[in-house]
Amino acid sequence: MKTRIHELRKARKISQEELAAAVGVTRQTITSLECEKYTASLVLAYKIAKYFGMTIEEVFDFSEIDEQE
Amino acid sequence: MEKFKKQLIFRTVFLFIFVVLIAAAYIVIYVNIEEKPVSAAYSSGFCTGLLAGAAVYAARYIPALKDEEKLKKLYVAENDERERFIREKTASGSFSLFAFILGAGIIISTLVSPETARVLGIVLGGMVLVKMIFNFYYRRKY
Repeated sequence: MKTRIHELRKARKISQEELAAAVGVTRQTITSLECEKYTASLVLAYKIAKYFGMTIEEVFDFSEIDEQE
Repeated sequence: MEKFKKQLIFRTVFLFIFVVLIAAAYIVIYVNIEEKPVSAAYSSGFCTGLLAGAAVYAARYIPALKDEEKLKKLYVAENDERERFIREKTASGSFSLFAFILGAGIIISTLVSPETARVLGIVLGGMVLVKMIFNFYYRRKY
């Protein structure tokens, strides 16, 4: 799934390590999310969106799922 | 984090008790066997390795119990959702592959050694039974 995590992180000058620590996952999980290799759970998506002060839809791109339907 | 700490203490104590009990039972049985089978040396080595592994596994929790930062790191490492996902995928994939290999082994060994086929059949049956029990448990739980 496409996400804006990398873009948002760079804009705020936050490292993967810092984001990972803030949302309670490993740095590798953030890397996988940014590389679109792994799709976050609802809870993690919520935590990340909350961390950036945005809604889940603003951080995660659900257009592919909408197209499948 | 306190709940996780309690879990770690339980795991450490449980593993140490397990190691001590198995080691004691093995020593008692080993000493009391008059004519030791040829496989006794292999068995001793395997048992020692297994118990040492369990002891090392239990000991790795001790630093985390003493240091809050290490405890937090261990908590994240154990509860990271991607890690859990990988563990679940690995477990289910390994089971399927192993069951398939055992099934093939049973078919082939039936022709060569019926006794081996019977043992493999029991192992496969046990594995499937355990999987069914867990499946039933989790279907009721979730």
